[in-house]
This record gives sequence, C-alpha cells and structure tokens, in this order.
Amino acid sequence: MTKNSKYRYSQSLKLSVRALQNRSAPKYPPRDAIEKVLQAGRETQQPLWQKVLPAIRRTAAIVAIALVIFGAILSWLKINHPSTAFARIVEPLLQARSATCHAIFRMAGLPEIEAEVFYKDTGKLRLELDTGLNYLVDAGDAYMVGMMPKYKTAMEIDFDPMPQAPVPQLVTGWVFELRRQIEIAQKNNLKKVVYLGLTELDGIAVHKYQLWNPQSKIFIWADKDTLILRRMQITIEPITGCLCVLDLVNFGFDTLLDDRLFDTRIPDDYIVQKVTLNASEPSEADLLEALKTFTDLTGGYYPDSLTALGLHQTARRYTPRQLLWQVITLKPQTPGMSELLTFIVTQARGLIFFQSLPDVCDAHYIGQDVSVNDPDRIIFYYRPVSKDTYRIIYADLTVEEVHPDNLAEIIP
Amino acid sequence: MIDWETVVRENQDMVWRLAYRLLGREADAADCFQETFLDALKIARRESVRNWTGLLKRVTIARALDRLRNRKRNSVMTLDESLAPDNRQMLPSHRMEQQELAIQLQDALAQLPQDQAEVFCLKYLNGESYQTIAYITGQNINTVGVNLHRARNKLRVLLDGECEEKY
Repeated sequence: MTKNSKYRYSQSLKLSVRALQNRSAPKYPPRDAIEKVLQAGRETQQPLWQKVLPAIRRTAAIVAIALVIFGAILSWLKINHPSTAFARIVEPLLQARSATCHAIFRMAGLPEIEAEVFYKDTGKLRLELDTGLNYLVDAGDAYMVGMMPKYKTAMEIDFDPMPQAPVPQLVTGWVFELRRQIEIAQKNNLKKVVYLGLTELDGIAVHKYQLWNPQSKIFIWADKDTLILRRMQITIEPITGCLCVLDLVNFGFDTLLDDRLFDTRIPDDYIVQKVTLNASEPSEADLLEALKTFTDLTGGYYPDSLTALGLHQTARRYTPRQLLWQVITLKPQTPGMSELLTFIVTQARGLIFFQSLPDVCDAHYIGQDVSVNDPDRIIFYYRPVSKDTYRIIYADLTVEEVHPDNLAEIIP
Repeated sequence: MIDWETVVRENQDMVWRLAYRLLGREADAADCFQETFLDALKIARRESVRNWTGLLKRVTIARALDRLRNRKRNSVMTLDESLAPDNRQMLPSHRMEQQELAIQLQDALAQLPQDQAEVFCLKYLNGESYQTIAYITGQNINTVGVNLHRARNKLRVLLDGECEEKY
C-alpha cells in the first residue's frame, strides 16, 4: 500500500464518518413512537408478583434456616449421645466463645445462597451473603441491620414486641441456641442419634451421624482421627414444600474475631430504611392475617397448600398484577421495601404457625381451589393443644368451634 | 421494579439521535427506536440492568445495524432525509456528496462483524472513550482497541473499494 493510497483511505473514512456525524435528526423522536414504547412498557412491565414470589421463596428459605436453627434444633432436646465420640464432636459447639463457618443454602428453584457466618457468644452475629449483603445482629438489643456497601443502603430491623425466648436465639445466635439445646439434650435419654459408620468426605475419613426429627434430617460428619466437626447438613422440606438443604462447613471455633466485624452502626452516607417486625410467637390470628393478605393478592383464591411452594404456585395462577401492586406498593413503580418485607413476614408467620402445630392438633388445610366467594367452604381446621374442641376456619375467615363428635358431619 | 417512564424519558433523545444518524430515515429510525426499547425491556425482564444508557446504546446500534444489513441484502435504495433539500442549507453538490459518503459508510458498517461495528459506532458516532466502550460492551479495553483498529482498517478498504469503483 503506497503512502498516497493510505492517505486516501484515511481521508475517505474520515469524510464518511463526518457525513454520518453531521446528519441532523429531527429534535424529538415521533410522539407516537414514544407512546408505543411507554405503552409496551406498561403492558410488559415485570409484574411485582414475579419479584415478590421469589422473595417469598427466599424468605421461606430463611424461615427454613430459622426452622433449622429453631424448630429442628429443638429436636436436640431428644438427643441421646450414643457414644463418647459424638459428645466430643459437639463439645466445641458447647464450649466455644466464638465460631465461624461457611453456609450454603440450596432450595429448588432458587439460586444457591452462600454466606460466611461469624458468631460471638456475646450474642453477636454477622452474616456475609454472597450477594454483597451483610447482616449484623445484636441479640442483646434484639436489633438487626442489613447493609449493602455496594449501594450504600441499609435496612434497620427492630422487633416489636421484644422477642421472647427462644425467638431471640432463633433470630440472633444460632450457635447459642444450638449449644443450649445440646445441653438440654444431654440431660435426656432418647435415642435420636444414629451412627452411620465411617465414610469419606473430601478425601478424608470421617464418622457420619444422623439426627432424627420430623421436620428435618440432620447429618454430621466429623474427622475420624481428630473428631473435629467437618460438616453439618440439614435437609428440610415441610414449610417450603420443596427440598431445601443447608450445609455448614469450614467450622472454626474460638478464633479471634475483631469487634469491628459486629459493629451495627450505619455509616452516615447510607440511605436507611426502617422496619419493625412482629417477633411474637405466631398464633391463629397470624394465619388468618396471612390468608387474608394472600387472597387480597390472588383475587380471592386460597393457596394450594400452606407451604412456600403452595403460595408460589397459587399466586402465579391467580395474581392480577394491579392488585398486587396495590397490596404491596405505596405507589406504582416505587415498591416500598418495608411493605414488601411486612407482607413476606405476614405470610411467613402464618406458615410457621401452621407448621409448628404438633401432630396432636390434627391440623388440616383444605383450601385448595377455594375462594372467598364460597363462604361456607372450610379451608382449615385444627384442635388447639389445650382445647377439647376443633377450630374450623371458613373461606370468609370466620372461625367456629366444633366438638370432635360433630366434626365428621361438617368436614367434606 | 423498573421505572420505565424514567428510563424512556432519560434516554429517548440519545436513542433517537443515534438511530437516526445510523439510518438516516425517520421511518426507519422510529422503528429502530421502538425495537430498541422493547428489546431492552425484554433483557431487563431476564436480568437486572444497572446501566440503562449503556444497554440502550448497544441495542440501538445492534438494531440499526440489523436494518442496514437488511437494506443491503434487499438492495434498498435509501434517501438520506437529513440531507434532503428542505432540511439543510447546503449547495446541492455538497449535499449529494455528503449523502453519498454517509450511505457508503452505512453499507460498509453493515459488512463489519458485530463487535467491530458496535465499537466503531460507539467511538465515532457517540464519541465514547475507550473506557466507556469497554464498560458498556463488557469487553476488555485492549479488545476494544483491537476491534476498533480492525473496524477502521476494514472500513478503509471497503470505502476505498467503493470509491475506486465509482471513479
């Protein structure tokens, strides 16, 4: 290529680019084009329920974790330590002043959630989620704050009323609760721990144990030689309606943890939202409230089942977008995070109430395909622990007490 | 939740100008304008969008190039409306020359690989820096440089071929 031709090439490109740059467009895009785009946006706007439902499921995941920490761990009440080895394995959980571990939570239909967990027995907990969100919990003050350094946003969560035990431990210090339950378990004499023999974990010979519980399965792996806790796996299904697995690995006990890790103060330049959550023990009223807000969402239809999956499936079928907006948002396109969280917690509390009813309550949910327009249809019945009569909840959410002898007459 | 009206309001002029510069016809630019926003909306439903402006620039260029390629395949003769007599106060000869140059570059751009054409348009039609292009396209800054270099070379060859054919 000669110098001349090279020059000519550059010139022709330069002139062509300039010609394109010089094209002057009409100042504004055609109005009808803008209107069509806006309209398409309104029609195809991501319905909020598509956002809310995964959030419900994610919350259910958190509830499931809570159950693991709270409900399932309560099963440790019934643990009998079958061997000296097992007692030694759980000893660090009883004695450690601080603990760290890596948590991996898997739930069908959700991306894996991973978190680094830091705990101090002063009741302080720090969870660093892989999404960049950090949760800091102070058990003493029943205070929790979530911070997203990337966006400089924070959410303060207060509990009202102040949670009663064991809720504080549930919300705040799972290691503390685990420890407490093990201590209680040591005083009991029930055979709920099964030794599954020697196996291999990441190339290391380990002992494997299983703890039995109606709500969950807990497996524990410990090093064959040192009896160091290697992994805990908790599988839980009832409340979510699908398989959820929580793996806790890389345990560290009595590690030095800087107090700054647990500093709950929010930097001045953060945007802060405040939420107050009901931390009292869920009751029937919570179930009624959850059902009511759910039917507001779905145009009157009750969930297929009282599980996170049941809520998800039903809402997908019935939720009109606009209605969901009204329920969840303060105004369209600016969903209030606190309203969203309150809605989710309302649902979660209803679920927890149902799932925590013991077998003797003979609780049955039969609300599938029932709508509020069928006020005579029964959606739920159970017998409270301390009562001789059944509580029947109808589709209009009225409650009737019925003697067990008369139950067969009214239950379809 | 996407604040769609804000997204449209803040970016409509940029999308419009870019589409019009690349296509030179109001009807085409208006179609491209709509396609761009609708495609961006679809993308936003699949994944969260942090940089709407960057996304819309990329989509505008992609849709406009699709139209240019389509024109070239179908050998559609275009009238550059931006240079039509009632639009510009130019000498007719100059106007014709500008129109021809612009159309030549349009045709040449339609023949470039997508990556190269995209980088070229962002750089020369939108005046973006290498860093911004790298951020918008998700390419390494060196890759941006290489793509731009290749785009320029190919365009020079294509444009020169056109020039030689004409003379």
